[in-house]
Amino acid sequence: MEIVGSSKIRKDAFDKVTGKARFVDDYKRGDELYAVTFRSPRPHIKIISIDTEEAKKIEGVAGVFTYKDIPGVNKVPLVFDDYPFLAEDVCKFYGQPIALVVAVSKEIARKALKKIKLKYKELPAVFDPLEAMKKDAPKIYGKDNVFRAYKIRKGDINRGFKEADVVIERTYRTNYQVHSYLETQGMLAEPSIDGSITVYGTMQCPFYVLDAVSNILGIPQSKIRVVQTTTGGAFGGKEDVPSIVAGHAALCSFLTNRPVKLIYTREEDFDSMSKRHPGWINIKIGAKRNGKITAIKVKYVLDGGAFATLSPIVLWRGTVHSTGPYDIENVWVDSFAVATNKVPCGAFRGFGQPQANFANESIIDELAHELKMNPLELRKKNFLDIGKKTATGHLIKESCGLKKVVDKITKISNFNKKWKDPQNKKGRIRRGIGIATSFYGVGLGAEGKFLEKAGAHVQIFKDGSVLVAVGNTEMGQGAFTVLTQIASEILGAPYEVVNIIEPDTTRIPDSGPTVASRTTVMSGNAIINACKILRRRIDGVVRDIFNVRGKVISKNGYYYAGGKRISYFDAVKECYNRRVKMAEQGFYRVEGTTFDRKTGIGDAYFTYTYSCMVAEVEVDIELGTVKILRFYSGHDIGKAVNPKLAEGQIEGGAVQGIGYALYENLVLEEGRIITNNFTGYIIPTIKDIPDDIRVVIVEEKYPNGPYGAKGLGEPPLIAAAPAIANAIFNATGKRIRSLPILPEKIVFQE
Amino acid sequence: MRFFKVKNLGELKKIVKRSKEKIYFLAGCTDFMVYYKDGMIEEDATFIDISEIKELKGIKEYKDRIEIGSLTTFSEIIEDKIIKKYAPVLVEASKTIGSKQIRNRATIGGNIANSSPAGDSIPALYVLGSFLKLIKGERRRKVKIEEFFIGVKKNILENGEIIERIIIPKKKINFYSFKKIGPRNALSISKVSCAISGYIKDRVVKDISISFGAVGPTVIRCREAEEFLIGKRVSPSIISKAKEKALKVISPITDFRSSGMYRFHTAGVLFERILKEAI
Repeated sequence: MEIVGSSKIRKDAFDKVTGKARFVDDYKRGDELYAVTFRSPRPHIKIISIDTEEAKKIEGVAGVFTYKDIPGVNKVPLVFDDYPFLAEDVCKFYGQPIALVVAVSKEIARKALKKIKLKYKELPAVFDPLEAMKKDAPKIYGKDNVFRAYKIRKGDINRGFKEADVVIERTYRTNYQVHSYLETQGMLAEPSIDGSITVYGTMQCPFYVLDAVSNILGIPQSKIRVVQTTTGGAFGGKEDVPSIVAGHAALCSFLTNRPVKLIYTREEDFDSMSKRHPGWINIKIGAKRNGKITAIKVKYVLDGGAFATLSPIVLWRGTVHSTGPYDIENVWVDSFAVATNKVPCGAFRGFGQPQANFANESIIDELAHELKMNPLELRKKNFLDIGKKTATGHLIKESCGLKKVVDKITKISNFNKKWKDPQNKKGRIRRGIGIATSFYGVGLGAEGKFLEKAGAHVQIFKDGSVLVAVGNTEMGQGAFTVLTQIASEILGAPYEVVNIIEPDTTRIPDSGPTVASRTTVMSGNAIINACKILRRRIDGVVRDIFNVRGKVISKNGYYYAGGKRISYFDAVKECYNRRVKMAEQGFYRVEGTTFDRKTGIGDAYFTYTYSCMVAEVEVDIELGTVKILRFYSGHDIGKAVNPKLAEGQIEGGAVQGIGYALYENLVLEEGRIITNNFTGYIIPTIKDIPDDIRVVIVEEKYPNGPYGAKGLGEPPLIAAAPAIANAIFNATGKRIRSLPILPEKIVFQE
Repeated sequence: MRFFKVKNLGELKKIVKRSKEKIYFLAGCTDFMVYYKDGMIEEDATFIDISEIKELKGIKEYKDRIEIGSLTTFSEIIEDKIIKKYAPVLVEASKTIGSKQIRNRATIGGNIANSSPAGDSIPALYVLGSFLKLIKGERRRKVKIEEFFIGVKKNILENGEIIERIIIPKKKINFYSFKKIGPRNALSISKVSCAISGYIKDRVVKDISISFGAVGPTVIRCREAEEFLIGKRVSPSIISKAKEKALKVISPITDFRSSGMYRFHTAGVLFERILKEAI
């Protein structure tokens, strides 16, 4: 291998660094109109009337549209069909879209927005998921406000607790987290010549957008073209909700027959787009004196907001991983995604795991404290490994580098030497060290398996340049670089001449969503399947030219066979001369994941990524301020296709995890977000993160992964918060059980 | 919307005289653009870009005072030798404002005119005993900085009046400090801040000025604590008594940035730390 495993320069680096990259708002059509959204002014209302006449009269307004103008179906196609593109009779959260104003300029559109007269009646609202689960709570969804509930029943929970020498029970809470992508949501929709429509925009999942546009307009998918423009960050925030923005833009374009741009302000992006779910987690855990965990019981509640969006599957991932990367015989989990009158929550890097992991990895530390054990030793006694079973009873048979990751991270951080009982610490500045671990099921898993496929189309041109079409997207994570490396490696083509086309639903195969850290494995395998066929044909021609048998080897742009060599480009030319088919399709599908909803037992995912993080902190106990001195993050990812990019992912995840742990505090009043921009919602700056973030990559090959690779996108965030919380406890003796860990909490907790 | 750009005070005078409606003055615009984007600026108004008025720039030293033009940016303040010598606490406070990019644009006059109790230059200007020279047309007036502010983002400026310069009397100072606690280390709005400057000889306080930011509707000067400390030998028990007196005059609120309880507590911690560092 010469290309896979080397740190090739990102395919998009030059364009992004020089400003050449064009984001959706950079596109100009000359005759485009601008749309703005009229939104619910209160968290729960019954609409009596919407009067748009005054708004329509303003010069320059091309249209004001409500649900009545929708030619297709007024449902955003997600897990459930409960979310209308435009509200009809009820609004369930502050900021829910009600109408769209289209005008020749943004300013005029905004002016017209103020002229819309909405008559409504306030309905009783509920903002806390635990309140929403009560019998007499206002009803937002179904009979009980529960979007979805899961359970896991493994072993005998009562026996497990009976066998324990120590049992503790704790409750943890986590707040929202905002994706804070640099580029807000935005779409440009325009009519095409044949009555079809094209939508350009910032997104992760072009085929979700395709579903949505087809739904709202009621036209066939083959008549719609969805093109992903350079996407300025996503982190899950551009998985489901771009469907809404695209639906709105497409509707406006369809009804006005003009190009329409719909670009969100940061404030409306905060107010109405998805977030990480706030979590409430109660855990009871029991262990023997020697540290062997005998039983764990979890109740996990996610605050879903007003509509289901992706909550059911976010909850499922959280549930499956809620007891941590441990081999525990007796497991009992109940989990609920609950409706409240707040902004709908959705996908965010980690997808239901960071909340549960914060609780789980905190209580392991609390258990160690009860047992008077070193928390690393306690973990080591219980870790998953080959031959052990996850909470859902999934027997791990291969590719488990957890112990290796933990050993390396604790060695370079000198964990055991630095970990000292907090009781012995004095002074106003106190140092501490904390550890947390996680495992992450790669891909969509059993509950998402109907989407678990990927396709690729690979075409080698006469001059040797290669185009690869895949259905997954680049959003800054480096997918196109990694996928290019894989295609280039197999074909023997120089990295520079292989490129991936911009995702365009008329030119790429549906490969499922670009989520769940699945792209390297899924699209990587699809590309391999296409490239292998092409390579076989090229190899045949090479052997034929040299009149030899045996293996053809590619290296440095040449094919070698029987002691002779021919350049890649000459070989391709020769293939063309011989009329060899130089375009091919590849497809990859995963089978075998299972989950029994009655028992919660099954082989939930096809493989897992294993992670360990250590944080060293310095706490000013009078002011409650926390400085992270050093941060260590290690991951078993099977194979680092591009080590530099992998490091970047890991460092970025650490920073986002530090933000989640210490800074990011979304504040709501009566269901309305009051910190709805970066003045009030604090994310870490370069001055708030440690200079020293150390990365460890372990490569325990996953036999079905491309070159052994698993997934990496999400794990680098997951265990950061508990590692920091555990370090703060180690420094101060104060156990903070809610995120973010603000100075106010540290100062005033006894 | 009427927009003007003026090059000197003479041109400014003429335009101000002609304008009957509300006037917005534009300098660094680091606050203005945020308000504008939030729809908090009246559109039916006159906008005057004063950023190139020469008379409002520069720092001058006189026998008994220094004068800072209101258009001086915080980056300029941080680098200036005269300010470093006579108003080092202002340098320290200026370093904590916004980010490098903001400090390159934001002016001291703008920070004062915005009149936020969390404006970080203001506690420093309080303890320096600063005066502001205001100008509207022909009329000039000089006010003590404490008399300038009348509430949260409210001041005595009349429509068409601007801050011309900041006057800082030279004083004998041998210790000073500005400490601020914000939500993070850069681009950070103070939850609470404290500025102290003074003269202490052999642990005895000869002169001292104390102020707090972000714990009341305006920045607050703690006269009672100052008077209590003058002439006293600083010790832990004196510091603790002075702290009690200092905190009596603050009235921190709870909002999305922090809690009143934390602000009160932290104001005390900062006060104690600064005094302990002084001895």
